[in-house]
Amino acid sequence: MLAAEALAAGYFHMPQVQNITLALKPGTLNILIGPNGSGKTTLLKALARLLPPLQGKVTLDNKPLTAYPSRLLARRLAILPQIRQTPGLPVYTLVAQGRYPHHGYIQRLNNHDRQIIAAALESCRLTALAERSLNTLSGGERQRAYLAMLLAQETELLLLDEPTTFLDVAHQLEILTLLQKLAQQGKTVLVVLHEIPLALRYADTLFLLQAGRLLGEFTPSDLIASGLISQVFGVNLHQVVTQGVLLTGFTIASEGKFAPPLPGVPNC
Amino acid sequence: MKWGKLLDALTGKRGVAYLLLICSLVLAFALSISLGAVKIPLPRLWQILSGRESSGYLALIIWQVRLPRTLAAMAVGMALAASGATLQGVLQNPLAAPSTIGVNAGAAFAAMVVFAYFPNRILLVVPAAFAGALVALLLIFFIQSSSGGGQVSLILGGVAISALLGAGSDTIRLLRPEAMVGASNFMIGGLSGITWSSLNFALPYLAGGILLALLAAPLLNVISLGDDVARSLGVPLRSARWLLLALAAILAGSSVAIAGLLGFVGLIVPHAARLLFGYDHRFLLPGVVILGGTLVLLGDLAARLIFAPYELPVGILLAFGGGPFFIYLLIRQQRGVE
Repeated sequence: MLAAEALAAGYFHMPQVQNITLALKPGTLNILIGPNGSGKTTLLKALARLLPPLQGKVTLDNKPLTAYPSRLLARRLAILPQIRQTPGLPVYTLVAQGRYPHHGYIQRLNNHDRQIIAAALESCRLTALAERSLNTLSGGERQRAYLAMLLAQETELLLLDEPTTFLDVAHQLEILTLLQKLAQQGKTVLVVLHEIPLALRYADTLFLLQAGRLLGEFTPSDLIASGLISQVFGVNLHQVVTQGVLLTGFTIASEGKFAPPLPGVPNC
Repeated sequence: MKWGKLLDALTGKRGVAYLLLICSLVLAFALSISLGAVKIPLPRLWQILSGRESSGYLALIIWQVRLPRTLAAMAVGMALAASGATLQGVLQNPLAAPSTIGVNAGAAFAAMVVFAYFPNRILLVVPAAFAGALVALLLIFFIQSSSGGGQVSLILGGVAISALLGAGSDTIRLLRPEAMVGASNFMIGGLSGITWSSLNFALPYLAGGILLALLAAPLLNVISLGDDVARSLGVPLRSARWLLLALAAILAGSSVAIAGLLGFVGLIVPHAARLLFGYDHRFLLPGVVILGGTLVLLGDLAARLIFAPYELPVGILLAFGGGPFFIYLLIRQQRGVE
């Protein structure tokens, strides 16, 4: 599985993340959280070989990532970067790009490819939109289209950088539910997420990053008990059970007094 | 099932557009051979082309003047349009085209050097023009990546490179006026001096380049998803990009070598073709190639007919149409409309 050992990565030889050691367990949904600028995206890119390590190494099945040929790696690890283009390609064509690592671009799609693309479209509820051009879709549909491309790549590892940005609450829940399902089916998923209530609700394992350093890996209840969220994000964490639903909300720590908790997301 | 799909494809919107475009290409080709200072009626044209009338001055005009010129117009139009579509795809910039980013100017400068200083080595013109185009592309690529990569910085860099190389070309023209009899035609872009011998040595590059551009279409699709996504799919991005840039340089360079500075074809045609065929390069590029060939064929025909028996270089006509179109694109670009 994917692991990092004493990894440092960054741009222009300036490490944004340092001394990262982690290992992902197969079949789990892992969520990476941390304040803005803590190096979440840098770490994710380094784990997917989009950034070369400055120190240490990233390994997949105990073999350094750099030892894998690009297409072979792309058959095992898929990443959805944060900044995505919206070319005017039809959704189907976009999703079909996910088959590239399996047959290169000269070979045409075979029936097996088409079945996988159809299944990916189906699980992202895009079948009806398959012929639509990407730039005519809403933000949520576009996000799902890229996710479907990732699924068509048929990798055991899925890395996603803020897949819920710009999405309304219902679509955020939908994407995370889908990722949870994929993890239950045996895929290993690592997601960078800003919404802590969502992270606490869905993650099997949480990785907390602060100023380029990994503070550790936690289960959601351990993380809450540790009090680290308040320290790292500078907020007070509030959890209230109403009508059998656990709500998570925040207030700014420096205010000292409690404001009513912000509407959060039910924590199971 | 497969045949049903084929029928669907032929009767769909895209299929009809292809058929219409191919018909207009064939028509433009026929008109380009039959019309000019001497008009040759189509039945007579058919007799000559099918070999039943092989002597006489009409046959001579057709075989030695009209046919090479028509073929050149078509091939150059196709190549410049394909070059423009490839550049717009690789550089992710709708304003990119061989004429707007200095590639044509690079090819023209190199070709002028050969014309002026190595007049006996005329076979060198195409390789030289290719090298010139490639050097201009390298410069523009360098400017693009070291200035932060804005869309407009590419065009401004192109303006600078075009000005620089244009000054170089002008200097050569002043220093070697005797070698530059056809230079004004060359600088504006015209097809009037085309003969078989000038066409023959560029045609293989043009045909091969067009074919490669059609084959590279899926690669352009992957690249259009952005660097990170393309790399995460396992695309060897750096080599793919160089390959495509070299391809665009071959297409533009060999076009410039025979037709001179024919502007705007590479810019306008991909945009027009996108309206018909969308953004999927696999469907776009065939459309771009057919449309580009038709546009230059018709442009050259009009250039011959408007002031007949005098003729305009086709580059002037294309600039009259292309200049305003470029301004329109710039304005749309600044408003952020995709």
